[in-house]
Amino acid sequence: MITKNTIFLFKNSLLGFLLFMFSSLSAQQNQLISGNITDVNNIPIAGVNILEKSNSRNGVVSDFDGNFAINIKPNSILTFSYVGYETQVIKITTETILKIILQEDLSSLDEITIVAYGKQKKSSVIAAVTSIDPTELKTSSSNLTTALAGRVAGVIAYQRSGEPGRDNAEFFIRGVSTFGYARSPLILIDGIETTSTDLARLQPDDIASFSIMKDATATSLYGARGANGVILVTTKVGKEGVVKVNVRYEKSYSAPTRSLEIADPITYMTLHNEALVTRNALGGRIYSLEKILISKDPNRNKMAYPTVDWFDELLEDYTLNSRFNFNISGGGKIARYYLATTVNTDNGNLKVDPRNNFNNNINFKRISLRSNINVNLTPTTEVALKFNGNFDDYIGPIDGGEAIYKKAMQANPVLYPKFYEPDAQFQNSSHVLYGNAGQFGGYLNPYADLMRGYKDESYNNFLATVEVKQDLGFITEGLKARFLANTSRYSFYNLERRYNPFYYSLGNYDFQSDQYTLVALNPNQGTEYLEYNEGNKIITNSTYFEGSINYQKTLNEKHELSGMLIGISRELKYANAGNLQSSLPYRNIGLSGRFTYAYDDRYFSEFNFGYNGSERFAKSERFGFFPSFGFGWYASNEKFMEPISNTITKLKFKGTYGVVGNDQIGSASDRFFYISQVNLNNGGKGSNFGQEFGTNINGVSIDRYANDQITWEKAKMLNVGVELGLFGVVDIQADYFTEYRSNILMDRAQIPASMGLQAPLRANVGEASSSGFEFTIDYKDSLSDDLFVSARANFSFATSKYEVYEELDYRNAGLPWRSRIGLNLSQPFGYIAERLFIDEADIANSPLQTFGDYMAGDIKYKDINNDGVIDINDEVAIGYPTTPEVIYGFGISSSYKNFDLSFFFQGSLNSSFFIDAYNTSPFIDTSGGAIGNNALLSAWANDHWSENDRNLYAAWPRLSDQLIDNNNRNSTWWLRDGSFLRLKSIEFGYSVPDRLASRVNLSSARIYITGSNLFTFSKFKLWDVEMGGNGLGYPIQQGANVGVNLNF
Amino acid sequence: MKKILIVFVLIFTSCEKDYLDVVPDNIATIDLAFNTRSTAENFLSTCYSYIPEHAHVEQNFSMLAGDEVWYYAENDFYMNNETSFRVAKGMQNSSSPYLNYWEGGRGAPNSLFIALRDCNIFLENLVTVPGLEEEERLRWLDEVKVLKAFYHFWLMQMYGPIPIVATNIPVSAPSSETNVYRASIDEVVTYLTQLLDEVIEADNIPGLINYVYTEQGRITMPIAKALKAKILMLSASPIFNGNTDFSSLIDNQGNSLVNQSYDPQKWVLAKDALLEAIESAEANGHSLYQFNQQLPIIGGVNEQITQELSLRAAITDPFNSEIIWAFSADWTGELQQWCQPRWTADHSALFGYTKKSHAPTLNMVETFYSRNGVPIDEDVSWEYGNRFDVVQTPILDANNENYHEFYIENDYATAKLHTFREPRFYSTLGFDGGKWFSLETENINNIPHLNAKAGAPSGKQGFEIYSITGYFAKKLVHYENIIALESSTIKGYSFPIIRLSDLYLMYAEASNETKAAPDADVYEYIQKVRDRAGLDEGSDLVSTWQMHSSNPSKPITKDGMRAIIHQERMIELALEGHRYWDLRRWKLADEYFSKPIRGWNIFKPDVEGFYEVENIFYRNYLTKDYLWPISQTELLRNPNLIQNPGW
Repeated sequence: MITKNTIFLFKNSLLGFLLFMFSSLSAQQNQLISGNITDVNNIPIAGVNILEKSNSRNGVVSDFDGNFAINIKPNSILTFSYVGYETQVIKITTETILKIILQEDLSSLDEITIVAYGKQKKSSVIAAVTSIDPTELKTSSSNLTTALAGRVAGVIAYQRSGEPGRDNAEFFIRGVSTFGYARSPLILIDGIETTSTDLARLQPDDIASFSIMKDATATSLYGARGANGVILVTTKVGKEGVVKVNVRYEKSYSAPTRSLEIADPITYMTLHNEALVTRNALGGRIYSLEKILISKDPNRNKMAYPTVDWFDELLEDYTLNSRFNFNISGGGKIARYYLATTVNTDNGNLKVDPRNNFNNNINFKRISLRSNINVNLTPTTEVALKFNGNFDDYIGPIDGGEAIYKKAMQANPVLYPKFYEPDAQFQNSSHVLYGNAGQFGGYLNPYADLMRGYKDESYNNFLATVEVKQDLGFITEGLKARFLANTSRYSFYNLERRYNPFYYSLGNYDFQSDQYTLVALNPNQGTEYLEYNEGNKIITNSTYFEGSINYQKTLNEKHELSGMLIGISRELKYANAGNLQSSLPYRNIGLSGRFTYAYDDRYFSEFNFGYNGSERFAKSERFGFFPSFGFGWYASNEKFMEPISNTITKLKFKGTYGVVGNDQIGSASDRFFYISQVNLNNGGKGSNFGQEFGTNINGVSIDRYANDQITWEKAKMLNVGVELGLFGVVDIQADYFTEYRSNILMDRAQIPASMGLQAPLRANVGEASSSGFEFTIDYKDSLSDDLFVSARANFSFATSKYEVYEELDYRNAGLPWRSRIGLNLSQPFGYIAERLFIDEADIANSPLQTFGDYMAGDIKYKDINNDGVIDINDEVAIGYPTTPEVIYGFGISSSYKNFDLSFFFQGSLNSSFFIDAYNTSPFIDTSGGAIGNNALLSAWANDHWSENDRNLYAAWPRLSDQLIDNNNRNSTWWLRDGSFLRLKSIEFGYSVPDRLASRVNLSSARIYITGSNLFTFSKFKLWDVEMGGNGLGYPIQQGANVGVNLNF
Repeated sequence: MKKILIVFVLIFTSCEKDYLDVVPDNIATIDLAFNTRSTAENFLSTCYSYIPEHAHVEQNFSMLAGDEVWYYAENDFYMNNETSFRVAKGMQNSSSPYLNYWEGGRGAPNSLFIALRDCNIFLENLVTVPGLEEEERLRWLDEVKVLKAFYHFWLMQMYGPIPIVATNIPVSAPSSETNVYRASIDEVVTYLTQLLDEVIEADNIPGLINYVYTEQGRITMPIAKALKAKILMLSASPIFNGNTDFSSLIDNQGNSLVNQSYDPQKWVLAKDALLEAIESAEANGHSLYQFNQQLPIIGGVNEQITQELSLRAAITDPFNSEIIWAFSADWTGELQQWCQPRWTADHSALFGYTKKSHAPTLNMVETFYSRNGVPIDEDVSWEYGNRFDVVQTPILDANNENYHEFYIENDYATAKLHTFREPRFYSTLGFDGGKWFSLETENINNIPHLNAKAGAPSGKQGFEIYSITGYFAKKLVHYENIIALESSTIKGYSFPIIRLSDLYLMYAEASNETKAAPDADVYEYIQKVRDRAGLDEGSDLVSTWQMHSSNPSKPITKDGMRAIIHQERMIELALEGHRYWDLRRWKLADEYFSKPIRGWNIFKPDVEGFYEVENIFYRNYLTKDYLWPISQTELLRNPNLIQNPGW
């Protein structure tokens, strides 16, 4: 036996070998105990920890076959422990060969909750922590953040864009509770702080646990960084046992949930003419009646009379993506491993011109490698090594996918085609003859912009973590120590390769012969070769250390005590910081602790604290203390509940209160509030001198005034909750919370401009409160041997309020409606649009509107203060907040025999957004770089005010070829309800029967199809309502997946 | 190993406080700005940087906010002028004022109070700087004092009474100190003249710039004196001298901010200061500009074109002798592009250089004198009533000579209004049929002309960039500009802030106000301006009026002479933005700016259609428009401020 053990150790590690030398040396005078460990089904269990109780340095681990051998002192006590099984304690008397059967510990298997810097038994958790089964986070978008909405109680989330690589959802824990700089939660993956982008790229297959920390007891250990909530994710680690291989491959189809409807080019021309004439009787037409007439003829020469649907020319209807995940795990007594690889490819739906030999469509490849290795150095020492590399390569159009969508909206559809077929003169031209107009080709040709080159982006993130866990039971039982060190290296660059398109316009067109000539617009500026443009390079390094001591003890079987102290330090550095102050390291240091006491599994109490410092504040303000405490009562464990314990299987009440901080009160570049920031050599503040304008002397600017009292935000949080289990199949959790955020950094509002300050004075004066509730109902039951059903619903409501806000004294000025105090933090303001103006007499009899020219058919606003003038003093709070107050979701999963079906709905309530009146204004030029004419949305073409149809409530006011600033105001005219309910996902799967699978050496195999965002209920029809005001951007995608998942 | 672990944990749990001290000691703070000559010079440059760009139609809103020029639109692909143009259209407001030089924004690049704070920081901190000689230090300090006076003056022109920023209020001061009061006009003027007198007496700043390639644009003694004169002129003028329209401007301490009784003595102070400024300027080599070069042109430059170029280059020749103050930050390249009309295919191709939209109004066009040097509605030989008739060139005068040979294209149908006008008419304006001399001209007998009718090169072609009136600002375009595909030159110049003819005409005005009736002192300097403009040939303005005007005694009465001086200023300084300030100063803005803005019907391609007078815009200029509104926000921040009347 010893021999076998030796070989095994040697194979696994040199350290193991040394350990063996050590243990075999001391083995001589002891008793050798050997045996075999199995579960109740007689299946051997590998990796069971066998420890001599009186000497915790002496221990071994069972091998593959469940065998073990250990030298012990006579009459020792041995403990056999393994995760998920009840620990057995056996006193050794005479027997030297043991047969151990471990019982599954049903209470512990899924009843461990990940909490700050550790784990707790679920029954003893009194903090507001939501854990979610990682498989719930699978979506067809390969972006984890898009899965959060509606899945996790307490998370308010929404997604505004569907562009691959740019489609992160915004998410807030318990809503937005501050109007300071950072509103997003702290995200920790395996204890290491990361960004929401890193979270987005995480593979659900690799996640072991996903928890959201919501209240003070859950987050106060994070001290000055936890006030916006914390997301804790741990990745899988290997388990001792046979090698497990999991392969998943998915192919998915992706298309916009809803596309913009654009009026046809004939209508466009007719209404553009109308827009000119209706604003200026002398204005004349831009498109001749002849052009409009001929353009209707399908047999016309399309080069001479182009009608272009830019959306069609630039975009495919759909795209195909693929996802591949491979992971392998297993291990032995000494070492366990989890290795995973993911290769995801997401494509955009942009067209590619076959004449270019490069791909300008979005191609976003993400490769992720993960290696988690755990090694038992000694029976009491475990070392974990974790490596994780994320490598993203993005190729896409120079302007980005979103810009292509926007440009399709901004380009004139009838002035020129996307490119000309060569005329006689340019027959042999080796470049594409892109269409344009005006001299030099000053107009916007989005096709040329899309085809003229591509952008290369690369993002690499590499994390290495070493963690050492030491059981200090030899000092006193229940004492453990842990040390963790991590370094993360992040790098990013982008660059462009592009040519300058050659633009052509129509010279002459002879109707009789149907011949046209082209005119080269920019023969000297165009290039046929690619040019290179260097982009950004970002490199950041961070290092993190964490050390902790844990103590856990149960006294008299009833008193459970635990304590933990943890120290952390973190440093972050930027390579291309841009200025001295940003180049200095970003540092945090902290000491935190948790102390719990539980009595008889009925009464629980907990005290936590964080004591943190951050480099950005003055010495006196640098450190803060953030305590919290909580109590819980497990009522269903009381004697008097026993009679109804079959009905009420669980009843638990809990309440917590505490203080948490937020030190992210300014952007990364805005630090050191206690010292001023000046630029003594600022090119933008200097002057020119000299006869020939030749002497330029730079100037001096002040970017920040010092205030050494600035410090972090403080959040006082209260949470009360109840957990209720019914009949063993229904589980209900409900929480109510309030939060009061103070010390929010704000600009002082009352400093007169006559002070002549160049930067705002700032102080921690803002205060905000928030409150809400959330609940989750889970139902799980096997209705028969073949039919299993689970259902889940959750609902989150969070609202917020400005309590103290630096603003002008509106109340004394008689303008109380301009004050934000008492309103939601994302409450939009705007004018109340009454209707459109009837005629000039109506305008003359109405208050003067001060936003530029306006006529009959333009929007008439309400004069709130009755002063006869419509100006900023007439802006009032309108609509719901822009961040939804309610996010909810519900779904059912079921399986019948080998088939499974699940669906999930997600909804959002109480939010508003504004239609972007500027960017949807037809005919005007919004493109910025080149001359454009906005496309005409069908909705506006079909329903606008016109001189013949003076509909005072038409969807669009009087047409214009120039921006009518009067109409381009945030007002109720453009305000829309952001509520929706959508079928977020539906999945149908089939698992190959075991006997079939085992024939091909598979332990399981499943194929499935998934649909996501298949339909949405909403009153808003112009674009996907979830995009809100960003409706002209890259649309949110719907998709269908086909996938296969194999386990070996 | 275990012991090491424990030690590690202890290290991290014992909070190392120094770990968070990441800021090095020698980080830049404002005090460091005065440790070296170079950074101190940067600070000096910053004090200059707040001078509003005078060639910028927003920053220097006086060009567009009155009635001198008009644009076809507020905002399109080529431009965005939602500020000064909206002021011109009467859309000023107090909730978010345009050209908010008080707070900064809406077309104003900065709050001028920031400028004043920086000036004070400089004045308070420039004590001893290694490497900076005492003489230079004193010069820098006095330059900044003049700038400080100028920024006050700019605010006073806009807002009237303003807070005096003599010294800086500490950043941490309580609201009792930060809530300042507006000082009365008299207090502001007293403070500013004291400040400038200090500079003038100390005599640390040069009379003229020696190192023209590195220092041109810096403050000189003639600038300091001219600025003082302009301040006193403003305080003597009707707007602030006993203007009862502002009787309500009394703050919460009971102080009346604009004196309510007329004080003739203020004109005397202004006149004295002007004389001092003129003498200083002339002593330092300033004189009215006369063009006297030969140009590489077939036929050479004749007398008439020399005359035209004297008038044009007085503006566009950088830092010429006539210019007392111009600032090098004003490159004017952009402005010239907006003014430049087209007459060749290359011009049309290079439409970025030839945006031709800075359009003088018909109101301005009518202001210029007749060829005889008197107003067109007074000239007994000029058919004022038929001025809009179309005539075919050539038109000969009584001596059978073609006065227009170098001004208007031959055999061209144009308006009678364009004929027999004074040289400044032709040097200031481009018009349909008018000739445009530049270095693109190859032969003096073949000067290109403009065609401003719809569809023609200088007319309205597309839907963007065109002259809405049919006129072009020739005066602001350098004659050396060449717009050609092979290579284009826009010759930059420094937009004049103060030039000598401005001082001359102010002197005549101030002198006239101090006398019961005009005398030789009144006539002296205005005559110099008229002489350079080619008027009163061999004679003087009094006899000119007697010979040609239907109101021959006009120059002999104080009121008549005042009107003459007003019109002379509006002509001589046309398109430079002075008219806007002058009409406000004279309290005539409500009369002038309430007239419709007029131009030709530029939408028409034919002669008959084009020469129809169109009213482009109607505006009603109100009493409140004489002073800028202070934003309501600022009034809410500082309850000690009172709003200007009517806002």
